[in-house]
Amino acid sequence: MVSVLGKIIRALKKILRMDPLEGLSLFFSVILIVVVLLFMGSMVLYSLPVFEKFGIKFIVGTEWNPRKDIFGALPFVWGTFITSTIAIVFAVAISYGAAYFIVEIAPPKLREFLSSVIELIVAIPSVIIGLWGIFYVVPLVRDFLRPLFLPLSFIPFLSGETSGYSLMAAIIVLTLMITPISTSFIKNALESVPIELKEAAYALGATRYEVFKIVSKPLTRRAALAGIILAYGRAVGETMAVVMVVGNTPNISLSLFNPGYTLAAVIANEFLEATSVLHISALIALGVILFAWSLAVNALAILIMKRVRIS
Amino acid sequence: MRPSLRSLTDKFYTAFAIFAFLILIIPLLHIILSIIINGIKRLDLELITSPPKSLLGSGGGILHAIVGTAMVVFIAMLISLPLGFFVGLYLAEFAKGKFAHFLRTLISVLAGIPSIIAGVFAYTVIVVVYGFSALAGGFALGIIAIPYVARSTEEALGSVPMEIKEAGFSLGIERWKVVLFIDVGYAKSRIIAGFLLALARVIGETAPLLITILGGINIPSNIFSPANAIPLVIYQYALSPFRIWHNIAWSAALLLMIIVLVINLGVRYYLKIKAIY
Amino acid sequence: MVNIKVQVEGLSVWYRDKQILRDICILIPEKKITAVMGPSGCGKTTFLKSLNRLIEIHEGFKVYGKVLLDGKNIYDPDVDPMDIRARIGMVFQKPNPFPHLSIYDNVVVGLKLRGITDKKYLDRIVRETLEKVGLWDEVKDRLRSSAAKLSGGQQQRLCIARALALNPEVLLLDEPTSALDPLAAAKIENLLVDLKKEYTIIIVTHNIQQAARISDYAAFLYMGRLIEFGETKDIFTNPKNELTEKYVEGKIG
Repeated sequence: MVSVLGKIIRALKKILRMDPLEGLSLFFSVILIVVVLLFMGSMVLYSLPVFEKFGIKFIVGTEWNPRKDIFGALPFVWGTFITSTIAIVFAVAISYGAAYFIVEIAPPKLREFLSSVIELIVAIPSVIIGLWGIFYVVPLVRDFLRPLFLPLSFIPFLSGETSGYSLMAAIIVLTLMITPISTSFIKNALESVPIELKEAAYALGATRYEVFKIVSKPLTRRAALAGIILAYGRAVGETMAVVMVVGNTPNISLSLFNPGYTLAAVIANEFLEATSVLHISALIALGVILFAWSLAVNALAILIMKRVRIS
Repeated sequence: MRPSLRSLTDKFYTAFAIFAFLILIIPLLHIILSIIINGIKRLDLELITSPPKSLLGSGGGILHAIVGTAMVVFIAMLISLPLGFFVGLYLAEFAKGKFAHFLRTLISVLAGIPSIIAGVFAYTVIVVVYGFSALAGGFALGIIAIPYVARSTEEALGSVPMEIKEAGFSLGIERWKVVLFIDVGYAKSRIIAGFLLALARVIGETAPLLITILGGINIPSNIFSPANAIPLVIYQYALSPFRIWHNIAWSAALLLMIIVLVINLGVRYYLKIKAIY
Repeated sequence: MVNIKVQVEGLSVWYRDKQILRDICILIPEKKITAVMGPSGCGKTTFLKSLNRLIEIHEGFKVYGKVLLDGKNIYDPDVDPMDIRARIGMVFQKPNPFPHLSIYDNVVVGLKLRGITDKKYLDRIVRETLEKVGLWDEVKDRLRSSAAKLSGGQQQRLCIARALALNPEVLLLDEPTSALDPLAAAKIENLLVDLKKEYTIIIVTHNIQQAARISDYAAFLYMGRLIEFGETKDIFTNPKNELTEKYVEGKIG
C-alpha cells in the first residue's frame, strides 16, 4: 500500500519536473490513445445486440433481410473476400512487371517522372474512380468482357448474364486503385538494391531478367510483400469505387459476372436508411468484422516491415 | 546465329514488363482524360457560385457542397493538426522504449483502418448526440487525418541533423525552446507540407461523409446542421438517372481532381525549392 | 602566474558499457589557448562535450568526476546546465548555422530565446560580434538573408559569433577548421589568437601543426587517457612520454 503510494508520488514528481513541451505532447498522445480506445469500445458496444441475438450465426448466416430483422454477414464477407483476393493477384502481376519496367527498362531520365505519376495517381479520390467505373467499366464488362468470355462460360466463375454491375467490375476498379500502391513499394525496393550486387551478377554473364531473378527479387521479397499486403488492406476496406459498380446485391455466387456486395459497401448504403436498433447494430457489427480484418492485414504488414528493417 | 533460350526468356520478360506498365498506365490516363473531357463542359462560374436548381431544370451549381467541404475539412484540420502535430513531435523528440513503440503501432493501426469505419465511429459518438452534421463528418475526417499528420511531423523532425540540435543546446537554451524554435523551425517547410498532404488526402474522402453529414441541397448554416460535400455530390449525382446531373458530377470530379493535384504538385514543388539545406 | 579557469578532476565518461574517458585530470589556464590533441576515437570530442554538459543531451552517457568552473563543480545538482552552456560557448566541427534563420537571427538567437528583445541592444551585439569574427564587412548588407547561403568559412565564423553573442567566459571548439579550405582555416586560426585576450579557449584538433601554431598549452589524449599535458613548446620540443613523442612526430595517426 505504502509502496504503491510511493510510486504514485514519484510518478507525479517526475511529471512535475518534466520539460513543459514533453508534458504537453505526452498529454496529446494520451488523448490519442483514449480516442482509439473509445473508437474500439463504442464499435464493440453498438454491435453487441446483434451478436447477442444471432451469435456465430451472424457471421456464417447467408440471409440479410433488414425488413424481417434477419442478419447474416456471409454474403458481404464473401464479396469482400473474392473481390479483394482476385484484385490483389492481378495487382501483384502488374506491379512486378511495371516496377521492373520503371527500374530496369525505362530510360533513367523518365524514371523519376514515372514514379511521381504513379504516386499522384494514388492521390486521386476513390469516388472519382467510381464515377469513371460507372460510365466506362460497367459497359466494358457488359458489352465486351461478357461476349469475350462466352466460350468459357462453362467455368462457374465466368457463367451467367450480366448488367455490367458485377463483382468483375469491382475487381477491375480495385485492381486499378491498388496496383499503383504495390508498384510504388516494389519499385522503391528494387531501386534500393546495391548496384555492386547487380554488377557482380552482370559480370557473370547474366541477362537483365536473370539479374532480377537471382539478385533483385530475392533481396526485395520482404519489402515487396509488405507493400502488397498494404495494397490488399486497401482493397478490403475500399468503399466508394466498389459501391458504385458492384451491383449491391447480397448473394453468394461464384460467377464474377453476377452482382455482389462487400462489407464496406453495405455499411455505406444502408446506414442512412437503417431505422431499427438491430439493423444499425448489424451494420456496425459488419464494421467490427471489417475492422478486425484490416487490423489483421496491417499487423501482418507491420510484422514483415519490422523484419525488413533488421535484415 | 540463333538466339539462345536465355535471351529469348529475357526478351519475353521485357515484353511482359512493357505490357504490364501499359495495363497500369493506360486506364489511368483514360480516367484523367475522361474526367477532363466530360467535366470541362460544366466547369463554369455557375458551378462554383450557385446552389443546385430544382430537379430537372438545367444549370445550377454545387455551392452548397463547396461550403460543406470547406466546413468539414476545416473541422477535420482543427482536430487533426494539433493532435497529429504534438503526437508526432512527442515521438520524434521525447518518446522512448516500449511506449514509443506502442504509440507508433497505434498510429499504424489508425492509418490502416478503412475510412468508412471512421464514419461509423463518428456516427456512434457524434451523430447519436448531435444528429447528422458537418461536425460529425469533420470528426470522421479528422480521425482519418491524424496518422498522416503525426507521421509526417515525426519524419520531418527526425530529419533535423544532430549538429543543429547540439548547436541549439550549446547556447544554453532549454529543451522545449530548442525543440520548438530550432527543430520545428528547421523542419517547418516539411511539417507544413505534411499538413497540406493530409488535407489533400481527406478532401476527397467520401465514404465516412456518406453516413455522417446526410448531404442535402442546403448550404449548412452551422456545424450542427446537415451538409453536403463535393465528393458526396459526385456520388449522388453519378447514381441519378439524369444526364444533367451526370454532367455536374463529372465537373465536380474535375474540380476535386484539380484541387487534389494542385495541392500535391504544389507541395512537391515547394519542397524542391525549399530544399536548400 | 596564470589563473586556472577550468579544473577537471578525475573525469571518467562511460557510453553504455564502454569507457570513453579514464580519470582525466587537467588544469585549463584562463585566457590562453589550450589544444587537446589525439588520434581520432581517442575521446577528444567526448571530453569537450563533458565540459559544458552537452554530453547530457545524448542517451547512454554517464559522467563521473568533477569539472570545476571558477572553482564550482558544474555537475553539482544545484547547477543549471543551461547557465553552464551559456557561460561556456561551443563551436562544432562542421559549420552548423541554423539554415532556417537569417544571419542576424543566427547571432542573437541565444539572446532572443532568453527573452531579450531590446532591438537596439541586439543590433549592437550583432555588429560587435560580427566585427569580432571579421564577418561584419562581408555581410552587413544582407543581415536578413539566410545563413545557409554563406561560404563554409563564413558559416564557421558566424557560428563563432553565435557563441560569442552570449558573452561566454570559455569557448570550446571541436576541430573547427577540419571542414574548411586552408585559407578559411588560417582566418579562423588568426581569429582565435585574437580572441584569447578575452576568452579562455579550448580547441580540439587532430592537426598537430595547428596545435603547435596557435596553442599555449597542449594536452595529448590517447585511448581515453590523458597522456601528457603542459606548455605547448615543451610538449613539442621535449615530450616526456614516448607516445606523445611518436604522436607529435606524426607516427600515430
